[in-house]
Amino acid sequence: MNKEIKKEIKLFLLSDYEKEEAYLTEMHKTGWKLKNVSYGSVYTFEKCEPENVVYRLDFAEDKEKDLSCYIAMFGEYGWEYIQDVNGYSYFRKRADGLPEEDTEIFSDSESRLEMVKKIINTRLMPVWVVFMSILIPNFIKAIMHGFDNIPFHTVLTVLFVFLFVGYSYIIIYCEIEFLKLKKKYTKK
Amino acid sequence: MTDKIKRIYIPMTETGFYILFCLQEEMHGYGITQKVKEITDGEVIITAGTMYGSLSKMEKDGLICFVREEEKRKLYYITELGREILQLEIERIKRLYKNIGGV
Repeated sequence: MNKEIKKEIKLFLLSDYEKEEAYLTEMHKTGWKLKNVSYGSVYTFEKCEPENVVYRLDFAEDKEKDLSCYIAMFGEYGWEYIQDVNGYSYFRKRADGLPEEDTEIFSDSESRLEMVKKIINTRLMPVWVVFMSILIPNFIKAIMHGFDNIPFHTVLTVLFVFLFVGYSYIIIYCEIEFLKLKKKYTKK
Repeated sequence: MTDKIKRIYIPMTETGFYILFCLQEEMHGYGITQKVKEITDGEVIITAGTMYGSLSKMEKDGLICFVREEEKRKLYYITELGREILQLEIERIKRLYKNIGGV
């Protein structure tokens, strides 16, 4: 029997993992179970009974070398592993009748903060590096030479302005969101 | 012992303390969660992500070491450095207890 399939495109940035968890949990509640995530933002769901299933994203470094042990360990705590996307591991668990602490993958604020630190160091830092070393110099160059009526240069200028704006937005957005998350976790 | 390790781990979080304390015996992550739940009457719950992250960090910092794998479960054991840190923390907690009127 073929199950009904639905695809949605959603863009969650690095710092949006809690929003992504809430989105997937809500989808399952309305009868759409996550099948997989492709290209980082195409979410494929299959029709299911509406259920109270929570989704959680973990970001663990060095898990590649023992991914099967990592998955097995989460399994012992009742978490079903779905897949890895951009360094995040996706888990879910039926939440009916469970105490709140059993629906979380973190039990203290230190480990939540530790995860934010890991994401910033391994994922946001490279974005900064690309921004500072490639985009800014090229942006300046493009602005200075871009409007000399050579069509190729104009295309490059538009491209770099576009990239510059995009990267600036992502960096500023993520930095602000990470600050908010840190503040929230420190209070807990 | 390096001062850096001392600065990071003392004072220790409740999670960190119980993990290190349990690893005076060979144990795996989920086993530690169960034992801690038992000895604290269900007050201290260590979840999967927190356990995995703490074990990785402590292993990297040399407080515990990986012993062997048993059916996809990784068993860990405290190192000499781990014992030193645990001892320092126990003394700190004892002093705290003494100063608030305990024995």
